[in-house]
Amino acid sequence: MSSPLEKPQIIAHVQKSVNYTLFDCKWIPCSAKFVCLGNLARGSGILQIYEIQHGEAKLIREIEKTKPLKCGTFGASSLQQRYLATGDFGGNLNVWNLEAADTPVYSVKAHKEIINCIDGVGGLGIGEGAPEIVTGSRDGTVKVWDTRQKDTPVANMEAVEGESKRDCWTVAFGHAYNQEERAVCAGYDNGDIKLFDLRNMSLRWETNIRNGVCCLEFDRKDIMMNKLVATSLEGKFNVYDMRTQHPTKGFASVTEKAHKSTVWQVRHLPQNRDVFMTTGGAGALHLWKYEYPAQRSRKDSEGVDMGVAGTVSLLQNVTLSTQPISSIDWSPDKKGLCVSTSFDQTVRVLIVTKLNKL
Amino acid sequence: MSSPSKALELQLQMKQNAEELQDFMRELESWEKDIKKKDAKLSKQTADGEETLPPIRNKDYRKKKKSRSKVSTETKKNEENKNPKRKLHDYNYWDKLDVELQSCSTTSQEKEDLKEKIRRKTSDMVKKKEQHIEAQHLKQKAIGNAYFKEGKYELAIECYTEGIEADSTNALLPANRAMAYLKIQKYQEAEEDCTKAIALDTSYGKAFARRGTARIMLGKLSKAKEDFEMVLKLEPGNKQAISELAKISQELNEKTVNANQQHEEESKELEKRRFIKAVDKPPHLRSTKPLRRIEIEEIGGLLQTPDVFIESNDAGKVSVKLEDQAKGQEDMNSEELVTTYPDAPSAKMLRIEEISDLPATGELPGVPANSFQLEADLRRLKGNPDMLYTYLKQIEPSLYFKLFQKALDPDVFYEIIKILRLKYIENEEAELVLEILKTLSELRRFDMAIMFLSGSEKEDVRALFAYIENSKKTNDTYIPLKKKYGL
Repeated sequence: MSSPLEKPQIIAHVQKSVNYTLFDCKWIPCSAKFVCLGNLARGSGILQIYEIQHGEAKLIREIEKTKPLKCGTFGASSLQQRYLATGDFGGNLNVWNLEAADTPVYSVKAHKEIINCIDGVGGLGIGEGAPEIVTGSRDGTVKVWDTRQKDTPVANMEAVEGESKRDCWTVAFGHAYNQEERAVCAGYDNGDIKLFDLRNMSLRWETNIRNGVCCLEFDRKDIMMNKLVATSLEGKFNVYDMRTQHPTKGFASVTEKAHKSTVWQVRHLPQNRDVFMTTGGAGALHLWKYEYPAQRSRKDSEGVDMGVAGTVSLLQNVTLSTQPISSIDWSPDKKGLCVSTSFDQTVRVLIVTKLNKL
Repeated sequence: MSSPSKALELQLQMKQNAEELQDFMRELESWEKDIKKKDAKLSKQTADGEETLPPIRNKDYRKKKKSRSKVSTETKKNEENKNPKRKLHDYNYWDKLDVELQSCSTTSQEKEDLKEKIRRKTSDMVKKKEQHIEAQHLKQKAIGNAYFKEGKYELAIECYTEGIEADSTNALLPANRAMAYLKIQKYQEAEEDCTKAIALDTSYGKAFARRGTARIMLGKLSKAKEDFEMVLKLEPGNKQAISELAKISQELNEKTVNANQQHEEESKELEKRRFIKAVDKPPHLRSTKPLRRIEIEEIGGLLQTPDVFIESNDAGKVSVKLEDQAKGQEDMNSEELVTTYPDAPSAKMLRIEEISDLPATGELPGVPANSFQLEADLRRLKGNPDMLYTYLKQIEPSLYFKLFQKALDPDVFYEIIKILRLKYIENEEAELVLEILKTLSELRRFDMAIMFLSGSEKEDVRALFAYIENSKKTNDTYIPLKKKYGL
């Protein structure tokens, strides 16, 4: 029986107060810098770049934009360019060269309403195939963009005419293990999770978790679908085993009641994808570990393969804030380093120790 | 376990944790350094050879769309090239234009200069020659006269011809040749020569006299008369002329009756010649060009049957007639065609032909199967309100939905409105009118049709509603319907 002290520790290394509402934060790949996106009190958007310097986060650049910035990703940019793609309240998708961020490298009016979520793949050496950006919006559509193509998305997933449009809260790329295959998973406010196969341009799977889907993430984007974590509005999250799809039952999953409030975000540790962090509406962070079952699939009564879900164990939890933690991002370069933003207008650089001992 | 040992363990772990954290911090420090170096290196790096990226997703699908638009822009460009916009400030264009014009004019001038030079040179030579030629034609004339006196007219003609070739301005030579022709009874040539001589010298009496004789011989009495009258003018008291004139007037009186008859015959013959003669070519001699369809313009009113112009006196014409008769059957066929392929472009053509062939007072067409047929039928019955009324009467109001699946055609709509006003008001119940108006208002593109109503058509609609109102058979749908019709 190990004592709590043997578990990984989550320590707030740096705390930085800002004067705007923080929505998202992202490490700039291959650097000690991260960007924070948010909404200034005067209604404009702001993008700040911080750098870790000897235990401090130093602001090195601040860029103001007309529309509040909701989300961002480096996922579709090359490591050398490191262009940031952002989605704003006006439904615009912009790609910025952070060295010269006056005008976007790529700009498109992607949605009619706020872009809630964004994800990228094909850049940074993560994921095979073309660099693509996916955006989900309150207008109910999920669109996939290729920055080589102006004005129009390469794929557009929207509700059939007549069906009510649901607010899309989260999108995630996955399954990008070769040039052709790629999947987009989208979560909606009504609890729908839809998995779109971009190769076939078809809906591969859908389910409803009976609660608004706040965040979705594949454990890895650049392998065959393995695990998918879906967090919900009322404190639960599901981990799906995405390897075996049963024709009727779909994917096997394990559900865990994590927080007493909304689970805002989930992020897998890039260096160990069985470990992931969830951020709670009460300002708590939970670090989880997924344990695979002895056998990942078995035959059902009719001899059809069906997945077997594993188990989830809580490694550590810590309450950092009284306000929801809106986002968290693991450093892709330094294991155990992460940055989080919360609605108490604070950016925190966190250190998680003992991750290599798990 | 004892509590002291537990406390000790805790302490140890705390220490361990602190060490771990310290280690991490140290590590972080060094990582910071490393990553910053790496970062700096990366940002200094310039595009390290573009990776070959996979194609854009669904590009093919987009390409199709794009290529179409591209083509259109290209053609636009071509068109622009063909018809460049002539802006006043487009100096390039005007410069170019001027240059071209100038080059044109210069070349033509050069040509003219050249011509003039040649002319000058040649004229010098000609002058020298002329004296020689003059001598020659005089000589030829003398020889010709000599032959003539001898009665060797052919030889004389040869001489005169040579003389004419040498000097075409002398009126004597053709006149003399004409005399020779007269002698050998070649009156036609004689007449021509005389005309030539007269053209050269209009006061040459002998030429007129000779032409007169030639014309008498050719039977052109009235013209001969003119000639001799001219001779008398030029040489009053010319005996030959007087006697010839007397002869001519006598003959003319005799001939007038005959001539009239002749004229009649001629004109009759001309009339006869108007007939189209059937050409019967064997198949291998026929033109290989495909037959061209001639568009037939619609002209209102009754059409005369083509038989009036075609007289059947050979096989070809008979066949034409047969075709005409066969057309009735073809009409039936074409009608079937139209109903089965309403969208086929040929259908309309067939329809038009049929319309032009059928007299307006034809049979009443049946209930139309589609909007095309309805449109065609309406066009055919146009100007015949009674027929139109009975025709429209056949169509149940509910049938309009089926007829106008795609959209309500404004023209048809106006036609219906017109008939409703003209005939329905006096013959039908207001309820029926109301029902029809209501059905029409529910059709697609109805709003558009209303929008394009002209003043008189609006008046028609107003009259219809007034009629309904007067009948007091309005129901709750009436007011909204009125609004729909823009009243």
